[in-house]
Amino acid sequence: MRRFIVVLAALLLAACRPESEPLSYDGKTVTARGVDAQDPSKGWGDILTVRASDDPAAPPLAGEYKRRGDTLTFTPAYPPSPQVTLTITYQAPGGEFHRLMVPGKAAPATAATTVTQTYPTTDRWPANQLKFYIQFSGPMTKGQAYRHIQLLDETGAVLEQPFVEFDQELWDPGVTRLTVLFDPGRIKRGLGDTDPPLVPGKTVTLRIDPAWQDAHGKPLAAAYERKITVVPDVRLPVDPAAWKITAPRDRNAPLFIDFPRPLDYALARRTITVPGVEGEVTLLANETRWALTPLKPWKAGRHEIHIDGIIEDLAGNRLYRPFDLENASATVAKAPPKSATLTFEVKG
Amino acid sequence: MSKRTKALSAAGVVGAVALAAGAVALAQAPQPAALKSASALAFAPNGVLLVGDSLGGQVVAIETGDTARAPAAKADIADVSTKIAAMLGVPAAQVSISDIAVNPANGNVYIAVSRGTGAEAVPVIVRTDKAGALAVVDVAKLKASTVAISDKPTAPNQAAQAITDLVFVNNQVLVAGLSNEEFNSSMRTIAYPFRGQASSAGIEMYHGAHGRFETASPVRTFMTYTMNNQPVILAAYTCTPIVKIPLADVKPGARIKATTIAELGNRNRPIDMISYEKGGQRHILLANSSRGVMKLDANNLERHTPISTPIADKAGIPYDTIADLKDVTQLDKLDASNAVIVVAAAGQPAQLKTIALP
Repeated sequence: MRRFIVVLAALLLAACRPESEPLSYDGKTVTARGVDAQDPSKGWGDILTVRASDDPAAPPLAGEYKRRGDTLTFTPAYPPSPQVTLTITYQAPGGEFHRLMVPGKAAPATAATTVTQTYPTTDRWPANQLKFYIQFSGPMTKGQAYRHIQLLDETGAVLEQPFVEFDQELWDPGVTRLTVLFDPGRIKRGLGDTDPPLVPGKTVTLRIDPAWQDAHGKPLAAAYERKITVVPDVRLPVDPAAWKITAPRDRNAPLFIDFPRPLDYALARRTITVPGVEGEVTLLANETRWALTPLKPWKAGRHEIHIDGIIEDLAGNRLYRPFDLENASATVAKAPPKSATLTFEVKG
Repeated sequence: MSKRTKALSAAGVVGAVALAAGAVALAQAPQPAALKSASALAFAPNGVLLVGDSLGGQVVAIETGDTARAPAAKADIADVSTKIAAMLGVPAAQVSISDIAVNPANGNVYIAVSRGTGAEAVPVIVRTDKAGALAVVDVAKLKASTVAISDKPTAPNQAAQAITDLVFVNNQVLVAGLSNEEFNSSMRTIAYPFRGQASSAGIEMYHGAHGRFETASPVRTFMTYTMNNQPVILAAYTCTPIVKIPLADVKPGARIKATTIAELGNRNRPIDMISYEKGGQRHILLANSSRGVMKLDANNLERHTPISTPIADKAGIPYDTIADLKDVTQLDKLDASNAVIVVAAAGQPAQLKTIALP
């Protein structure tokens, strides 16, 4: 009963307050009352100002003013962050000066974010490895990536600028997976003046600094480290003729495809499809095995497997086309096919 | 300017009310601008601001209505990122600047801003005015036309495009970008006004340091230039060849052999470049991650022989490094004698500055 009265009183107070106060803020709109009927010569911002900064030289919060009768409202163009302190001042011409402070709150407590996986999952990367993916358990803050990813050699020394750095950073739309490219200028043959970061026979350590902030501004739960053994370059095109297809053993069983070497995690998942068949695609055995489990039982008979030409292996070699070619003129003269088709049979 | 406009401006928002005049006629029926991100900016004629929207996978042409011609005023705003954060109601660390573009009609500087740093981030376009004040451009109230830059991949996907640069030339928009999955360096050409889907022109590039064709280096920044009275694209790649491509060759679906005309050395990434004339001499200014700003001698660029053999470090166009310009993250030409830069040292607020062209 007592709680009910308290809630009722709070509701009444909330309902009445904007009517009685000359200056109020309901979390969305600032309302000032007793405004002179005349529009001020310098604009409404001159008499009602909302600031989201301690710096008096900083501009006020952007937003829109509306006046109806003696009531002036200000709606921010973007809802202010709860972490920001708002200072609202109001003085109608010849009227009293009012100030309202809306203190910022600490960010809500959230579970720490972790690195859940890095791809490729194999610990043997070719010296011309083109890229890798870092998958986090939750969304991260953009703009900090390259400060927090390091590659260390066997002595623990940090390798200098092994990655292509983009200000935009290559995130997925949800900001939970980052793509990191090795500098293609340093993984090509014939480059004499810089050492490639990955040398066959050596071991490197991929290290992710826990100071990297997640979307809530909190550091990662822990540092992440992975040892990688570097193996020789792979300079062969992706050739589906070398893939081994295992047709579904019954009409509910998965279709398997085994590759002779790992393929790019992200691309292998979405560039191999069975037209007309929906199902769950998984990558197994360090991205050397692709599996499709159908949502509905397979139809008996012949099916096609479609492979999009953008598929890549770990070194960026594509369908029928290596990442770079010795014979350059051949590349220009003849464009490789943009897709491939394989077939398999489901027994009735 | 009406009183209402004054009131809106005082609140830091430039709306459509004052800006309806002077809109350019677009072939596509204009819609309110809907951006998912603002990654790269460039101006087309008649105050049309082209926005490369990486997350939206589109280029959006916004009729700003900011067409009044006037001499450019110097833009110098200390701690510009902190001030933008105050306007947008977020902590300063939640604001990042992804590009700037100067309106050639009047020197107003348009700034592409991300409000927020995670998945909830929203794009905001902010502009300066003659008095050095900042205002949010209310793009939702402005008319725009849109073109998709690629087919949207189907779910489930984590695929995303990144638009690294775009320019407007001869009624076409050229867009450079890359993907977070497939390593397809692409430059696309889109006829303007927008009439349909984008078409893309793949570029094959001969990188002097490697002695072979490369098909997959991402273009970092590019601009148009005139050589032998012909328009060309000059494009800069990571570590750091400059290539030229005749504009006439950039056609939908073309496979282009770009000519490397300079090697500016390894371990740096080009950020922005502009060309200008000073004292009868032609120059190119290239902002760069590790070498300060490079001033290239652009007289008779056509006389440089194409680079086709392995290069140890540097070859081709001679350049000076402007040592006192450090941590430049954005660069655009303000007028014939000045450039606007954004300077942002790690962990420090960004500064908007006007510099005399060196």
